This record gives sequence, C-alpha cells and structure tokens, in this order.
Amino acid sequence: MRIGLKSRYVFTLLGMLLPLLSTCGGTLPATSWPNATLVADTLMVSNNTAVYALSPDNGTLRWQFPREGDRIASQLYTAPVQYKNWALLGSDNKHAFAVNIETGQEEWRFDASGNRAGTAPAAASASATMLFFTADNTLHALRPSTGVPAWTFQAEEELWAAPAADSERVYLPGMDHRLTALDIDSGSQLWQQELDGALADTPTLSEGTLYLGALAKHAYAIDAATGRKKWRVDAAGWVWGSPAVAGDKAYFADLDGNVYAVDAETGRAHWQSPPLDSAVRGSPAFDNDTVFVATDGGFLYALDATNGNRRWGFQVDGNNADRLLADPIAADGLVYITAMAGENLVLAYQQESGQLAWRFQPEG
Amino acid sequence: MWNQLIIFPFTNTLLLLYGWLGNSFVLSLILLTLLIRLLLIPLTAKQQKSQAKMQAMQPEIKRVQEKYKGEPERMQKELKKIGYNPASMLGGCLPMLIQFPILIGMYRSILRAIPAAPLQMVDLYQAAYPSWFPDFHKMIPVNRRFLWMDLSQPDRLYLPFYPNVGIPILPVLVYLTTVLQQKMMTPPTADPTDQSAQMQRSMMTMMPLMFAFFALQFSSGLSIYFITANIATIAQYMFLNRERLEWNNVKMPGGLRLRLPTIAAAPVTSKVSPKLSTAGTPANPTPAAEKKISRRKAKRLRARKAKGGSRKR
Repeated sequence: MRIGLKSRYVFTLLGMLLPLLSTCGGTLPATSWPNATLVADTLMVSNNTAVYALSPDNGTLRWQFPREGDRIASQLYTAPVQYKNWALLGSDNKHAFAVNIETGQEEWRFDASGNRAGTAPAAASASATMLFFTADNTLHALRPSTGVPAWTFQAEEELWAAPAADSERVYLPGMDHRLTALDIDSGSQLWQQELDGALADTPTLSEGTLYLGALAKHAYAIDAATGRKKWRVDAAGWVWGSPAVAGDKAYFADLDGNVYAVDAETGRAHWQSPPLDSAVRGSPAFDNDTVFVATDGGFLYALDATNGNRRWGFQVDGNNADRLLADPIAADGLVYITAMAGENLVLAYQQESGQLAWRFQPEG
Repeated sequence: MWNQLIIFPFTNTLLLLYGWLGNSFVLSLILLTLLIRLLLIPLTAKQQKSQAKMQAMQPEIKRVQEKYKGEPERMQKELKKIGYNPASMLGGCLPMLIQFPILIGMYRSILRAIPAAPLQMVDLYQAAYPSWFPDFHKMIPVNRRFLWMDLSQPDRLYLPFYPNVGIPILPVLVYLTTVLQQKMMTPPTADPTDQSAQMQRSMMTMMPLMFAFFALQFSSGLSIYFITANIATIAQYMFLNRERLEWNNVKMPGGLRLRLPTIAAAPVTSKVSPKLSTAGTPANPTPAAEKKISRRKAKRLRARKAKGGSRKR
C-alpha cells in the first residue's frame, strides 16, 4: 500500500470533514400524536413542537408556546401537565419546560440531555410537592419552586410514560415491564411489581389503587401501598391506555378495538363492546354515564356506560381525520379529541348528540 | 399493498430471527440481509458474470472500436463476433432495480421492528403476525442496542473524553465497502476520455458518497444492511469468478493504491477479424487464469484417480 501526496491531501480533508459531519444530525426526528389536557378553563394541546392554549367553549386561541418564530426544535410527546399555575412539558431533546398557564411565558426549563444516544419520549407529571420528568431511563424529581433536581432514579429500560404520584409515593411505569413505587422525598424504592408487558402509560390512581394496562393482553389493579396485585383481566389485544375509573367501574380498551367495563374492586367483567373499526390506543373518557373512545381509524364513539351499547359513532371531521391516538377528554357537555392526520388539530363534539361544537387548526 | 408485500414480511422475519438469535437485532439484520442476497443470486450471478466478461473483454472491445471507427455497421458485427452483447448488460441492471424497493422496505422495516417512539410501537403491533408470535409481548421492548449503537438512530460514537462530537463509524465503513466493491467489479476503461468512461467515473465517485450520506442521515440498522450487502456481493463475485481473478494494484480514491483481486484483462491481439482473439472470455482464459484452471483440473483428476483406486481395493 502506497500513500502518495494526493492521498495525504484527501485524507487530511476527510479528517477535517468528518468532525464537521459528525455534528450534523445524530438523531432522527421523532413523530408523535397530538395530546390535550383540560386545566380549569383552558384546553392545552401539545402538537409537534408547540403547545396551544384554547378556550374550551369555542376553541379560540389564547396563546401558543413557543411564540411564532421561536422554536424549541423538539417533539413534545405527552400532554401538558398542570402544577399550580404552570403547564409542564417534556420534549424529546430531554428538556422540561414550565410555562405560565395564564400568559404562555416560559418560567424555567430543565436540561437532562447528558445521554445523547437516548431517544425515549420525555414525559412530565407533578404531585403537590414534587415535579417529575423522565428522559431515557432516568426519572428526575425536581423541586417545584426552582426546577432544581432533588433526586433521580435509574430504570433498567426506557421510560415512556410519566409516573403517577400521591403525597407519599411516586409510581413509575417502565418499559422493563416493572411498576416501581418510590418514596417521594428520597427516591428510595418501596416496592416493585413485575407485570406481563411493557408499561407505556401513566397509571390511573384512584382510592389507593393503581389501574393500568400493559403492552400485553391484560389490565391490572395494584394496591398502591403494598404493590400487591388486586386483579388481572385478560383482553383480546394489548391494553395501552390506563383504565378510566368512574364509580365502581373501570373502563379500558385494547389495540384490537374492544372496550371493556369491569368492577373496579374485583375485576369482574360487566360488559365488552363489539369490536370497533380499529385499534384504541388511548384511555377512554367517562362523563354523564357515557364512555367515549377514539380509534386509530379516525372514529369517535359514545358508548352507554351501563351496558356498552353504542349511542353514536362516526369518523370525525367530515371523514377527513385519521389516527385518533390520544385520550379523548369529556367535560361540560363536550368531548374533545386531537387528530394526528386531517384538516383540523382539535375537534369538540356535543356529548349528547355528537354534533360538532367547534374545531381548531393552527395557522400555517 | 406496499406494507403487505414488503414491509410486513421483512418486519416479521426480522423479529422471528431476533427471537431465534438470542434477542440480537444486529445478528437478525445481518442474517436477513444474507438471506435476501441468497434469494437474489439467480439474478445477481448473471449480472456479475456478464460484468466480469465485459471486464475481461475491455482491451479487445477497444481494439475493435479503434479499428472500425468509421464503419459503425462493421464495428457492431465484429463486436458481436467477440461476444460483446450490451443487451446482456441491460439484463444485468434488473438486480439493481430490484434492490431499491428492498432498500426502502428494509429501512422502513428496521424502524418498525425496533420502535424508539410510541407511534412506531402502534405500527409494530399492527404489522406483527399474531400466528408467528403468540407471546409477542415478551419480546417488547426489542433490544435495539449493539456495542455503542442505537440501531434506530444514525450511528455516532461518543467518546467519554469528548462527548459533544459523535464519530460516524458506520457511514465511513459504508463508504469504504462500497468503494471496494466498485473497484473490484467495475471494468477498467481503455480510453479515459470516452464519454461512457467519464459517466462511469462520476458514478463511481457519487454512489459511495450517496450511500455514506444515507448512512449518516438514517438509522444505523440501514448501515449494517449496506455493509453486509457489500461484503456479501464482494464474496459472491470472488467465488463466481474465482478462476479469472488476479491480484492487481487498484487506484482508490485519494490516489491510494491497494492490491485487490480483480478480473484479468485479456491481452490485445494484433489481428482482429476474422481471427479475433477471445482471450479472457470463459472459453479462452488468460494465461494466468489458464494456469489456475489447469492446476485445478490436475487436482480434480488426482482426486478421481485416488477414489477409483480405493474402490478397486
């Protein structure tokens, strides 16, 4: 092998080019579905790299974060979470943001982008005394006043969902199939329950019981104090969204398009709906004795909560929308849904009739 | 249609191999690439043989072209006589065309089989064949790590003492193996000023750069596919043309010279038609190749004799 003068020039050039190229890109842009949260009198919707604050009555835009022209240049995976007057956001470039709910101004941000190779979706949640933010395999507990980390917890696999929390414990669902309870002040592990599948949604915490689904064909109820399994119910497909609990019933759906109602205390089956048009990814919403579910195929259904009979169901947005993967929200006589594909980002329908109340699509 | 025909079968095969190979996605990816190459052998072997034939005939073709410069009809006739058939090269383009849908299918299947984000997980659930994976939930999450790599992301090696800059190891390997493959398999042109030679040269410069750019931008799983496919192609080419290979100094990008096994070019004969030399073609190998062939023939004869002898005994 001979190295001539020309080779030396070329290799020197390559040596200079490589570091330059290596700084370009590095991670593929992730995509996710838009999510919404209803906080007091504001409907907050996260979509791609922005959050929109809307009036829940008529869909009027109050503010958007970041403001037009600014960019946080990263995907927001989960719905904004309320802590007092802040909306907490987690982005896939491992940043947590606290945004003022009234004004849309950024209050602070927390950067956890130390591990560059990770790509797990980031999620945020809050308790009365602590804020939680996941990035890759790590749960960060932050002090609400400053956003300064109090402690961290390292899971074996990635964390795709924000934890649930009460005044004593934080309950962390992991893709390693484990639900872990940690002490809220110190972060020390209190108990751990290994379930059948990966856990990709925040558990529903109701009266000392954690209700959750898994990327396996089961839904579970776990005692929050001890981690003891209260019941496990079989489903036809993966149960991604955590069950919605109302009264003595828990409602959940699976990726094969089935909706179930079970006894919240015992797990005994009440009813199972006939399969819907396609997969149900999100948690059902419950209001006025009606269960609302949205499907991947773009349909929104209202089911009678007592027997699972269909009250109404249609493809939203004049058959235009597709991939309704977020949880629907039901409140004040309306049901809100965010569409991943279609002409409108947010749609609000009358709970009673299924009539369109308003729709919202950001400019541009 | 596209999903059903290419992406779903690839995704499910990747996952099936992943389960069989001890939850190693990189091994599953390498094995699937080799299986695809194996299935394409009937097409690629023909292409590679015709490529090798053209490679060996280059000096002879050039000589005919020069001799009958002003007589295109006669030139075509003479070229036909020595076995030059551009149509067979066209047939050889088919495997190239088939590889593009495979490439795109492979890329999308890799991303689907190793979901790095929730949306990809929904898509994976819809793609998986339930009958193939009765306990599919046990495979989730699919391990997408190998050494320093996250196979769902573009490859960058971050050194602990210099964590802000990632070194793209796989894109460099993609570039090098593509150049190597091209240098070994592309016939040397007798006239560098010829238009087709210029086109070939620019293709040879652009193609490896293009693949390296893909590797830089897309998931490192795709880079593993490129590297494995390149090495498999080189190995197949060497095996199919083993009797005509010669070690030669080959000029690499940047003026570097490497000794590589390439097809021996036929020596240019003094007389053309009607006694055109067809040396270098399968029927008339070069002296170097002839030596190799006769050595093999002798070996085979010896083996046969020994066999016959033992039978008699």
